[in-house]
Amino acid sequence: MTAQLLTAVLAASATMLFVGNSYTFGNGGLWTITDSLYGSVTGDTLIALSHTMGGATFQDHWNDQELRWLLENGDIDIAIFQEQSCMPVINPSLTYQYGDSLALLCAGAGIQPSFLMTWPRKNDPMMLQGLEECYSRMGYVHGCPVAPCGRAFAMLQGAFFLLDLYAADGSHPSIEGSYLAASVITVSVLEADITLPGAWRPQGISEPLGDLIRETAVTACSLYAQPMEAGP
Amino acid sequence: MLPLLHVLIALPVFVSELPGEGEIRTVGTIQSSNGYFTVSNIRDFPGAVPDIYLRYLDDRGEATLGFYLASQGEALQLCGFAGEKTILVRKPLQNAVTVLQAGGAETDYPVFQDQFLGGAAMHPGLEHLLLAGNDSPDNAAVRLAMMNTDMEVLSNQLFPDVQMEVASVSSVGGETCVLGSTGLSGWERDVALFFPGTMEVRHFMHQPGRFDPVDMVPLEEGCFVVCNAITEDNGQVGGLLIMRLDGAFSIDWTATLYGGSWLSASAADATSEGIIVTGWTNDLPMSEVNRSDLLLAEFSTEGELLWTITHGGNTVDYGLDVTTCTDGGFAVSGCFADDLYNGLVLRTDSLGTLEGMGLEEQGIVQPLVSVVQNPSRCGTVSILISENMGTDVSVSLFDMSGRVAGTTSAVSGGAAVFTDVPSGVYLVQVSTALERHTMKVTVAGGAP
Repeated sequence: MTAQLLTAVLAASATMLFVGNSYTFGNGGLWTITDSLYGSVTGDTLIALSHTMGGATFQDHWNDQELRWLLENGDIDIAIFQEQSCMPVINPSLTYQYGDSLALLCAGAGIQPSFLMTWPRKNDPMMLQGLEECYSRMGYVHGCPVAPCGRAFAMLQGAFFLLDLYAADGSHPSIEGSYLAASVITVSVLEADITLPGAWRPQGISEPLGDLIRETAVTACSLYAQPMEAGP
Repeated sequence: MLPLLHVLIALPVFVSELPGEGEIRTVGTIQSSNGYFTVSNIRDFPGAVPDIYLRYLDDRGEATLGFYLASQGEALQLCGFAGEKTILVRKPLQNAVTVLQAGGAETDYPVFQDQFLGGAAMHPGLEHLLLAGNDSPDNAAVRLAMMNTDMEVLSNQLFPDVQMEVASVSSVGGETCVLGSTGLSGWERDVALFFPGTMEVRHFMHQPGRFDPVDMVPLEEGCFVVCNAITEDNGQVGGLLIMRLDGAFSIDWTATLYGGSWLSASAADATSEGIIVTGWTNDLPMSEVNRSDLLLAEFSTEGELLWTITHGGNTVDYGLDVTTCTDGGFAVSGCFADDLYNGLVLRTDSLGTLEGMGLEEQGIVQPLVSVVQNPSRCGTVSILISENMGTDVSVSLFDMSGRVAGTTSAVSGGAAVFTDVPSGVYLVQVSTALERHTMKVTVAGGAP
């Protein structure tokens, strides 16, 4: 590829930044899975970047000067934020306070913010109610996409109990769980059609299972009433 | 003397757990002549179609009989109708709902085929059982049905022009009304009441915010409506809002219970004082593992918060239903997380506590410290100090978040008094250089 062609490709590509913690960086990273899936169904190049830190909350990310510099100077098009898994139900005030700050920082820098609705703990399905309320509020206030990964987890785990979307700790995602989350992001944030033949899937996930996971992602996104009317 | 005294004053409070394989949620409990009857949904794994498990408890919470229903389904609600324990069941595998009565045959209702699949609720009247709901999660048209005491369907009607997500149905002042919510812009929702007799729909809380009604409690005149509310007033953190509607279905008053963190109501029932609400709260403690505790809160008929109390261990605990018992106490159904959820029934006293057992010892031995009136009804907390307590007595009052609400000193044989204490539950700590005593006190009718 010539330098001119490379420059043209990069100019036409979207740059997406994944901000989160171990939920985001597990299994090789949601950004790499999303990148591979998106590229396989669109033919476009997604420049997927990450900024993750174990156990990090929105508050930690807001106080991270490196991230703030990246958002303000990194030529980012889309940012997706994943809050610490329990904060939306144990302290949503802090999620709002720092999530709002991050979203407004993005808006000021010309970045489209989005949020990754995480999934309930395996032994606490009713946690999803609080996660949905909290992330839906974030999407509503900022008029931005929410990737309803939590809802997709609940749908798929309830229908196929032999398929374990969770790691052994009942909290972090298995590779199937990460693929499901990346599929939801690809549909809800990047608006790509992942039902096309030849869609990429991680090694170890069979073709039928890959189809099932992607179909579940599409269904979960279609059932999720995206709150988009507001926004700054 | 001791055993006799125990029998005389021990209150019928208990905790009854339903552990087992799979995920278990106890969704309803009603009091019977010799104990309690509970209904639980048992799933092999989260999200699966459950089996319905019925259980009889004696008045101490010991299980005396338990059995599964023959066919799978999800119990949505339990009530007493026509003298029978009546259960509303959703059957996902058959795309149907049915109404069962304990001890009776498992009757299917072909007339309900493909109906009420978006949610259903029931209300037992004297002669009729009302069912209301939505046929589909995607279509919020209201459906209303009525059954007689022989469990025959008398009417079944869809109202395609009335769009609302149904939460509850009741008969208020002889008029059938359906409680639900309608969507506004984005994720916002208001509260709606539909009166099929006049085809009128009234909207309440038509203001910015998300209001999810959960239950309606009829009164002699008017009703209570219980909602979960997410508004600017509570920082868009989930809280509890109660509306008192008068006989003309206009808002008489509203009361709120907003915490520092997520608080969610799930069910309510009438009490002699007003209304009891159960649900869960994540206010305290802030823990990644112990996220929620079961919540009980009682409000007076005038909208005053009489008391709140939480119950929970080191995992998550949810209150899913509450029933007022004949002695003024409460039977609370719910679940708590272990490997998966386990079923739970709490039988509390009239203040929501589980401390009725073991009072016989306090009745015989003169306590070193005692509260004059517990619960306090006027915002004053008076503590009597025994002469045996020692000297230099310090008395502190803590609220349930651990903050000091007041401190004072007292002499042995004297008293310590706190006045103008806001309503709520507090811990009183009485200490000297040698010993410390802590007790819980509930303040109702306290300072605003």
